[in-house]
Amino acid sequence: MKKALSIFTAVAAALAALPATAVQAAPVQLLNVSYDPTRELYVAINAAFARSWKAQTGQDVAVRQSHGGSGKQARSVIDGLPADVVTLALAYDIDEISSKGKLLPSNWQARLPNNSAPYYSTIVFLVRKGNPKNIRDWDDLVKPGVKVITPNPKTSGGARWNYLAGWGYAQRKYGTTAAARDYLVKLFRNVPVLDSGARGSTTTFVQRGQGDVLLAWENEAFLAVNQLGKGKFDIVVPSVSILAEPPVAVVDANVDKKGTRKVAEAYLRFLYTPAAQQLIGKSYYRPRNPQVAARFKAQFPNVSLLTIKNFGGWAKAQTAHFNDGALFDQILEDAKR
Amino acid sequence: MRTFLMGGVAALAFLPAPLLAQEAPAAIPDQVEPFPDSGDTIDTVISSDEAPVAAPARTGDAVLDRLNALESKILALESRNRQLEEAAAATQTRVEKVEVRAARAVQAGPAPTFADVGGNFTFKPRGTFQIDYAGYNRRGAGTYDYNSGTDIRRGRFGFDGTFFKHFKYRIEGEFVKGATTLLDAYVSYGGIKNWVFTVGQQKAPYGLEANTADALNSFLERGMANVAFGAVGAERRVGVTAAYQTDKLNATIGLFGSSESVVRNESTPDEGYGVNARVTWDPILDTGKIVHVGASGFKAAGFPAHTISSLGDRPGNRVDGGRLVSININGTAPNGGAPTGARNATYWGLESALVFGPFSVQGEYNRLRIDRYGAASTVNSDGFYVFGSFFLTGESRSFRNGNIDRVKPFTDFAPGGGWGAFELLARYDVLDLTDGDFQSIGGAAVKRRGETWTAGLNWYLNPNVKFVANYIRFKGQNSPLVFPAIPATALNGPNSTAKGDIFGTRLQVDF
Repeated sequence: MKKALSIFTAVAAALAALPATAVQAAPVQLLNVSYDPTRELYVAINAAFARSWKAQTGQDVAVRQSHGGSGKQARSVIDGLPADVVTLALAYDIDEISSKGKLLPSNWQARLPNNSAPYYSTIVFLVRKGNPKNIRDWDDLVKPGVKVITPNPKTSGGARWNYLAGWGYAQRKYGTTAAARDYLVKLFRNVPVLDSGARGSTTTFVQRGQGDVLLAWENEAFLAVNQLGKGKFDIVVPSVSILAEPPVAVVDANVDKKGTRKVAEAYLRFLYTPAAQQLIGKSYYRPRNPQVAARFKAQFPNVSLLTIKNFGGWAKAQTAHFNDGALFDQILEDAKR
Repeated sequence: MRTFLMGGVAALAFLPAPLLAQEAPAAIPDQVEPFPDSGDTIDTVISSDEAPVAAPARTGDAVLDRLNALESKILALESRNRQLEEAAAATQTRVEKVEVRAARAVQAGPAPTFADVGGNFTFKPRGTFQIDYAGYNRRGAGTYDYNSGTDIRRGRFGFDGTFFKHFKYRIEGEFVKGATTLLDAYVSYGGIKNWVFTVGQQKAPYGLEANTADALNSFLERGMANVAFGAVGAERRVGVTAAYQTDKLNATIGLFGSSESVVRNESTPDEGYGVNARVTWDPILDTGKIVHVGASGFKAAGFPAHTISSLGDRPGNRVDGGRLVSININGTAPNGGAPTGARNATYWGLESALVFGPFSVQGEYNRLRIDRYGAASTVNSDGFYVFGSFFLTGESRSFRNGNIDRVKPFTDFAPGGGWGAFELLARYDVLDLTDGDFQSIGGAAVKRRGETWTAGLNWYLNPNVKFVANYIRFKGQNSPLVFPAIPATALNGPNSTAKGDIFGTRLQVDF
């Protein structure tokens, strides 16, 4: 008996020193087509997911990333970019992939919890250190001489959230559609350049030094303040902003063709794990997990948030504001005069 | 003790593995549960029950809401309409650009012009074909056998072109009478405002009818003095000219040699040379109202063997080549000996034209003086013409750059359509080579005066096809048309004057 126990413990010790090796499977590649500002987030997520997947299945997985304006990315996927998953800025863009590209079912958003949005964000103002133009709220953006940097709502998801946040503010404050329209005309008159994506606008504001205020995804603003331009910028939280839900989805047609459905679905479920939620918070996205979110309370200011429901849903908002010839096109034309 | 130690070691062995492997990889669940609402943990969500901000805002009044919705739709349609209008305007501009490109590429017309869009390079063929008929009738003395019949008076083909916008060229050859002759062959540069510099074989600046294009003069032939004196020191020669041109003033001066057809070698005389100049001014230059005046001159020297032969001209028609009046100034150029004959020639001339609606009057006066070597006297000659014209169909003669321009009928000739333009003309033309110091007999100057009276009818079928009919009554004293060589005894005699009529016609095509 004693001898058996000794042998057992020796073998156990030896086995413990050996790395766990399970059944070896062929390495798998995933393509995550994402929107512009999520580069740093998915670098962290992808590394963590690869470790978890390897630990669980023994299979190596490499996740490749593609980033760009959300609308542009959606169009690329519809045109054939072989995305296994899409992690875009707004549900409408994934709806387009479903309805126009027929690449995933129309009920995709119900397949994962919280409207398939494992994280969310909002729109804040990024200003130069010391806030020399004294920008406190949305009304300060339309003052003469203030240059506002925002991407183009036609191509960028973040820009659509910017626009709706501004519209929502103006409509609530001034009471009429006409007043909200006038407000946005004045706002776009102060916009010197429209980049195609949120990261492009960040580059314009941070690296090229253009503009007085950047209407930014919150995570972009934090990135600029803490990393890209440490000590050069301040974040201003407006009185009201918008709950921007960037959803995620598996692209069924592509994963079935490539045989990567299992990995792709696991990848998205991973985003809901506490570990991923922690990475999400660390990347300046607001975690959905309340426990994790509580840990970041000090990091994120408390903002009053409108939601897309206040606009009647994405379909109504798209038709009223962002279709060709709709309100945004009219506003931009008036702003040019 | 040993067991405990080995268990401890075994336990310790389990420790490094997770420590070595960073954090423990998160387990990926097979299912995920929705997170409960984070409440006001890090933000405050505004209730969707709040008045929706979708545009247009609902007022609660059904009619007002409908109006708002319609207004919104109208705004959207107006915006779309503006976009479509802008797109249509952009397309129209593109279409116009394409049409201009295509039009400029080849402009069809009497002669196609090939051009690039900017007009920097052009190429256009040109040609003149004149098919004449003349019938002669002798009324005066003599035995000269007039050769009535047909003649290809001019058969020319050439090219005009432009290089790099400012360089123009013309090359034209004549293909009649069994010979090929080079006519114009020059390059000109017009890059400096109002100036044109030309090098090559070209018409020397000389006179109105002489410098007008051969296809655009009004009668079958130019004035006789014009032709006779031009042969001495003008017409087409190799030279360089500088011209100053505005729309009303033209001044040209040139230095010339002889024409390119002269073959020279050791035994032939040196090339002749001359300076020619012409100035014209059109103080009134409007459609149907023109006043044109001008003056010209040349000085020429270096005549081969100091000889000017056949100074004279035909009586307004060349189907028969016999000259109406003519003189020869003979010379010699002996090696080492004193030369005799023509030393140099000096010419001056005046020109004038008036146009008033369908009426016009035109005239030129020409004077030539030939200086001779040694004690020989100068030879003086002069001449003039004057003509009037009237367009039955109302057109008006026009001028361009100091020369006569193409007549364009109001309506072209077409069966069942218009008739073209009809012009009636009358001319009196004199060439007087009489110079008593040069030729006299019995103390009296040998008369060498030639005159023609011409009645003409021009029918312009279109700007490029013309039919000309001239009835010419001619008279020439001591004329070669009496008989080719008048013996000295017969000079100034009753039978030394040629008289006759010519009925000449021409069909002309030019482009």
